[in-house]
Amino acid sequence: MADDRKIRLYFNEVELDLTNDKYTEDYTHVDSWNVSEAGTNLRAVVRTHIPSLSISYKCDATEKAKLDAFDKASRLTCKRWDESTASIIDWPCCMVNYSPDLIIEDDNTRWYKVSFKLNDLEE
Amino acid sequence: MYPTTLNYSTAIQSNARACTIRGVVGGHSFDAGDVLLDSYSYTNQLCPATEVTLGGVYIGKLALTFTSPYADSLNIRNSWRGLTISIEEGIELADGTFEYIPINIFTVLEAIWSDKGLAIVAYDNMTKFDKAVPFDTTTGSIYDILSLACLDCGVVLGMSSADCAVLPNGSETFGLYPDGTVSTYRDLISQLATASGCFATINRSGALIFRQLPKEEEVSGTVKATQRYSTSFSDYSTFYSGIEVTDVFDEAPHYYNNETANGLTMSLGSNPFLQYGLDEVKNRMRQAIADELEGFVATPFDISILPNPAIDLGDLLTFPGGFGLGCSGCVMNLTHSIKKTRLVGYGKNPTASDVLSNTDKALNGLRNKTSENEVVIHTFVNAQEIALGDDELQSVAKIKFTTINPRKVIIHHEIDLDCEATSEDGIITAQAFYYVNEVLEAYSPITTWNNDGMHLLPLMYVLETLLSGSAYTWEVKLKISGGTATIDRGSVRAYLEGQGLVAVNEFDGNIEITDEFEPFIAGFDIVALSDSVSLTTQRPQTITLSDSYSAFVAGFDIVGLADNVRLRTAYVQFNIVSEDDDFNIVSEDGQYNIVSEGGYN
Repeated sequence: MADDRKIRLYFNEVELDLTNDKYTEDYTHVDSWNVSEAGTNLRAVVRTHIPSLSISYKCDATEKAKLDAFDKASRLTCKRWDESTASIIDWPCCMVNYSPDLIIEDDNTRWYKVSFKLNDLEE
Repeated sequence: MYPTTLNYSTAIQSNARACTIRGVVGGHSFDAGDVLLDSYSYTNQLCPATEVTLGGVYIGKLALTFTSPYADSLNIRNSWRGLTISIEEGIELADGTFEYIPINIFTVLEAIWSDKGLAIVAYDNMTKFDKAVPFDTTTGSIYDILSLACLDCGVVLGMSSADCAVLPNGSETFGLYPDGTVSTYRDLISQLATASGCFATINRSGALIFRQLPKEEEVSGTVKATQRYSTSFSDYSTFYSGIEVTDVFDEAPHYYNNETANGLTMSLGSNPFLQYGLDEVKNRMRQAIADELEGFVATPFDISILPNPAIDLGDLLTFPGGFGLGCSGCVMNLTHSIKKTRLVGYGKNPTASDVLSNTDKALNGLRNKTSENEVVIHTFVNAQEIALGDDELQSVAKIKFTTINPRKVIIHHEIDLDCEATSEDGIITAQAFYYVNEVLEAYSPITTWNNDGMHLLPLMYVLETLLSGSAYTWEVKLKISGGTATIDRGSVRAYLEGQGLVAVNEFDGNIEITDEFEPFIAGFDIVALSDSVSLTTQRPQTITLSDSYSAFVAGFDIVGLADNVRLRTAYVQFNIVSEDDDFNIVSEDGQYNIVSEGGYN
């Protein structure tokens, strides 16, 4: 792989062998919305711009075994590309909705399409 | 309203802002990341939800749930109860920083561990006043009594004597009437706050303060229609035309009005701080409370707004636009949480409220005449030092009381004696003798001590065969054998309690006169000594008032002339302080006159 590739993920310093079938960043907020007596919106904010990542890619059984271990961990330290700072940052997160789908099996290994979501665990 | 910066005032006008919390529990700091979302709330109020009252002593309550990792990290399991916790709410300013407003200081009362974390319930320092009052009567100014309560309960008083002096009745000397309604310091503070036209609360530093209800023009802030939601406003305003106070002496309700017409009447009950003194004094103090309520006009409401922790109980807010139509409401119940502040004001409709008829008022008076079932307590403390010689019978306590329909009367005494043995065996014997109307009772308890020094003598007696409508004198005499004893001033403490007694400590018409002479050696046998006492009465002097006018020519027939003559009597109240500690007043001119150097001769 070329060194200037931006879409990289490291879980606890272990790099995933991404094929970039899907790499989606989502952002949510913890807030409260109410409509005022005058009909205007009122927003009470607790925390904004909470990231989550949705990933899917194809991998072999060896890669899947690594993901199995990461899925069992209560907390991961993920290194990922951050668009706002244009740099690799450390991001505390955990893996949810992990799903490995078997695509094909040959004489040497089995091939999967894995998908999972990374939820923010920023303190 | 808590004082804030201009940036804060700007920030709370915004329709979107962030709020956070931080605090310290048991010396460990925490922030919003250590508290579960929506678990934090602070609630407090100044009166019940049914109507506006004075004398509120409500407890501020804090609830929040710490995350398990944070609670575990402190490693203080089983030690949470009693921890001090302080909390601040931060409001995001325009530059992205937070301005923190202190909420209060609390003591953790409940701590419950669950899978979600550690749920904390903590209360402010008002709970510390739930402590029994060790006396049944006291006197002093607002500041004096509050200082005593705060000192005894370990709470800081958040008011200076000057702060107290400007309150209604702030310059008066209060006397607590022992009617049994004050059992804890919280009761005491509530009654005192009522008597000074205030409510009591704990301020943001954890100190006790009195606060007055706001006048109509004392607006603390404005909440526009674009800033409030979940709103409701009553279509009437609450205001008061006066107060009703039940006088324990004539057992009837008395009414005091201010200049406001057609308002509600606030009932203060038989407030024990409004019972002592001349009628003029009592009326003046009660009228001051009625006057204090003049100008209080508030519309009951219930609104929610974005978090604004600067709002205090008793703040008067105006609500322009929308359903508010510019009305004003007094914050009587508030809830701060991380996503909103809920504010509620209470009150009754003056036009729809029940108005007491004269019959109702008379019935109220009759209902109050149930003193036969009240427990009445009379107390005694010796004002002079008492010296007990060897084998001398000496009176140490005397209590007078009058019965209506008496049942059992119980009398407790606690006497602190400083004894010194004079006998060879060093044994000191103390025997108490009880007298009812100077007739010795059959029971005379006795005790012995075998060493010098301080000894505490508890005595208890029950009177069971008392007659209705009679006056009694209870007296205890003490005899020390094998030594001598002294009892310091204030070291004889006694109280007499029972039902069916007259509660009023008025002059009973008895005047005791004693005469003493020093022993002398005559040099011959004295057969008898005699003395005489003469009593004269003084007739009231008639005062004649006259007025005169000069004859004049009116130029027409005068049918009649009328004039009014009014005599004003001056009541002068003053205190006499004895400088020789013996409570003696010595007349220097031999004429038994007390000469004032001021204008009241």
